Amino acid sequence: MKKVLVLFMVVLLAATSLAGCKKEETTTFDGKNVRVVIGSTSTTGDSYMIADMAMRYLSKALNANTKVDAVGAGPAFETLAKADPDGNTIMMFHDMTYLGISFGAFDEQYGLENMVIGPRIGLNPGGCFAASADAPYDDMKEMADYLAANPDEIVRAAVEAGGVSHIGFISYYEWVVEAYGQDVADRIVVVVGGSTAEKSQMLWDGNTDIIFADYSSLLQYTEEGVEDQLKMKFVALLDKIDGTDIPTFADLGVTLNGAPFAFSKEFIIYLPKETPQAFVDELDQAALEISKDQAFIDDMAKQKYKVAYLPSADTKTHIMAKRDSLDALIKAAPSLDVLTVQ
Amino acid sequence: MIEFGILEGVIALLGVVIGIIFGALPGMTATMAIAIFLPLTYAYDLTTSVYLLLGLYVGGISGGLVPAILMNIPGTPSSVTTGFDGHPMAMKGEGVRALRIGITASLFGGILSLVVLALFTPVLARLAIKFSAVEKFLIILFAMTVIAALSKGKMTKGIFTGFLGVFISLMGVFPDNQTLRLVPSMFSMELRDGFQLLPVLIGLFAFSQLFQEAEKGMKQTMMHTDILKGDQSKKFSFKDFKGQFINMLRSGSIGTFMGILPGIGGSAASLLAYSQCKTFSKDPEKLGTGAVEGLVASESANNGLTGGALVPLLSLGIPGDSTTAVLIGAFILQGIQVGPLFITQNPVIWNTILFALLIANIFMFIVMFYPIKYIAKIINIPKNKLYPGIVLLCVVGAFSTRSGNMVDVFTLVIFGLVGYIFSKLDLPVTTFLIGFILGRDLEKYFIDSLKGSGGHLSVFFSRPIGLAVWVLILASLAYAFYDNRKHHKETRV
Repeated sequence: MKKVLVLFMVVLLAATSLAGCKKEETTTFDGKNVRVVIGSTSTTGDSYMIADMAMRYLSKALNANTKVDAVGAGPAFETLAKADPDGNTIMMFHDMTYLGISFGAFDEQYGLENMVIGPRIGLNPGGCFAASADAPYDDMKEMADYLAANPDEIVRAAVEAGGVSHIGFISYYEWVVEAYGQDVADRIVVVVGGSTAEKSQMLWDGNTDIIFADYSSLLQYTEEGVEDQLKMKFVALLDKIDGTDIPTFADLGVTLNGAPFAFSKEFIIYLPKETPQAFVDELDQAALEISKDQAFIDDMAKQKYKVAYLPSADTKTHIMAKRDSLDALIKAAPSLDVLTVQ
Repeated sequence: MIEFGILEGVIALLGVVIGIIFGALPGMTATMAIAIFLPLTYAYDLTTSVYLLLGLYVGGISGGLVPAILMNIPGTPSSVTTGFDGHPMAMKGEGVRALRIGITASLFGGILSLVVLALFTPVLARLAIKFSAVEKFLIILFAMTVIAALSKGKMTKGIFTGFLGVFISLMGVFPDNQTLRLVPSMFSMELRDGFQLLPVLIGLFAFSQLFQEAEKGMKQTMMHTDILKGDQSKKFSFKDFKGQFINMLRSGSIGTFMGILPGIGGSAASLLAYSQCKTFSKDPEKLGTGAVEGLVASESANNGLTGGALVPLLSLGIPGDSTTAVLIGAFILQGIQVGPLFITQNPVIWNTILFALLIANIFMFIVMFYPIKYIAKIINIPKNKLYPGIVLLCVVGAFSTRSGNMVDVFTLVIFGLVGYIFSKLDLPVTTFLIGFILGRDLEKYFIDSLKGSGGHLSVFFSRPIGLAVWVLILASLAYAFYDNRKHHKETRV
């Protein structure tokens, strides 16, 4: 009898365990634990900040438990590629999603075609170039004028390889070639830098003349009271930031495919390939809802980020067109091997 | 003016305790503790957040000494050198004494760095800016001379594994052109960022030890009973610090100074302090066998880092180490921009930070010093019960290194095997690890120096601070080689 009882208990336990293993097939985020991977390992950069803020509001709208994991670009792409299309894993990232492939840093298998593009949540228009406060030019047009007037001078620009700063630099470089000639463009050379902290130190050390960084991270160094060695000034923005009068690339006359050049980082939600449309629709609905939430708008504005909801279908068309136009720019521009200090 | 109340006190204490637990668990670090608790601070105001985060920071850095001493498994990368002398002491039955010496040295290092932070921040921030990539490269090179210092008797093997460590650390993407190097194409995605430090560290120390024990067969107790009883006369006393003041001051200052230099990690601080301790020691041959001075040097240096790393953070907006990089996020989320105007524009927060750091150090001492004799009993747990627990902790720690990546668990096992094979071939694991820890920084600052100079190698000999560091490097190497020769002569006799 005892043996039968033990056998019964074992069978019951096994059956219960197997029942627990039954695959959940609900096509809703409601009540789910959702892992949100981002393509950066930093928890202080815009990728984490925007994802974290958005997910705090989205989790309420979706009634899901979201967890932002700063895993880095490679692991994020890999995670999304391997994840089941069950709503438990999504990615939120900016333009590096496709730029990494355009620059050849990541394999084509992680291309936009192999993931489901969800809604756009926000924008960071804060990409900017800054120089030391005592630089002999106040903006990047004056910088080109300065080089044209001083044939022995060069300007070194600290940018990150294969990133948004790379795009910003080559768009400017191509404009200088067109407007001032190859000789002037050849004297704008790249010094590859890493994080904003590293690039700032390069500027203070005198190892570079201009740096690319996020507007809000450099703003403090431009204020009154900062000592001379640390003091900086903004020389160009990639896109308009409300409340500032710093010239943008478009103001300077920089163009891309004939249109004024403007570049904001677009933060979009990506889902694994084959994710059912119901998940995407639910995300669209929730993203629309939070985009109208004044508290979310205010939180984003504090960091100079913008809430910019775009439905997933429009986001897909828009981001693919953006990728294709930038691909043309990347193909036309010289590689960093040519542009770096020799 | 300081903002402090009962709630802040409780939060700071909580932060310290949780930080110690994180620091003590292999694979968990102060950086992870702060990153995990960062979202919790949304619910708090800045003052409360500061007490919590600084508590986690101090606790996380301090907790690493527990497994390093008791099990020879560094809880954090900056406590690698703590195990050099702490663990031999524990093996002699002086575990509690070693832990209390380490905790007291940690308090000294923490308070010293706090005084430096409070009094000299603006001056030191200006000094930190003068350290360009050239000086940083030379300081890393100086820290690497510890490889020679630790290789007494087997210099060739030590240098070989040190360079092997540097080589392995360079695997992955080269950031300047985003090109993958030294990685087989079949692992191009898995090893894109190379091997991560924490799984490598716990693999080399913990897993390799487990493999060796498995080979011998599990015993029912951790050690022989006579070792466990130890020399009962050697209990902790503050007299243990007799003659150690200069050592503590030198090591605490090295730790603080290394913290001030952005981009040079805590591991380099304790390595450099340990190698200088050996250089200035009256009995250098005793280091590595359970010498109090080695333990004191390591622990006062890694806690000296805490205040030091806050100097560039609060006065330049540049984090001094990976942990303070996460702290920036907490300030930003509270709408405070740390940078050149922070101290003048936020005097109350500045004073509160200093006070929070003081409180955190005192709490760390109280929380660790008295209950440590109970924690030290871990050494009595039979191996067959203790080791499965260690395996579990190591795997969880490795898996959480990058928020859940199985590659880090495989790394743990691979480097466990590497450590095991090294022990069979009598190759030193520590020098390999030092090369691995410092390799990427060594390359980065070498390349940054060349970029800034247009490719001229003469840049390494063109700056006065750099020349002074060259003298230290050469003196350190000359001493290590002389010591090695002396050792060989003695063994021949």
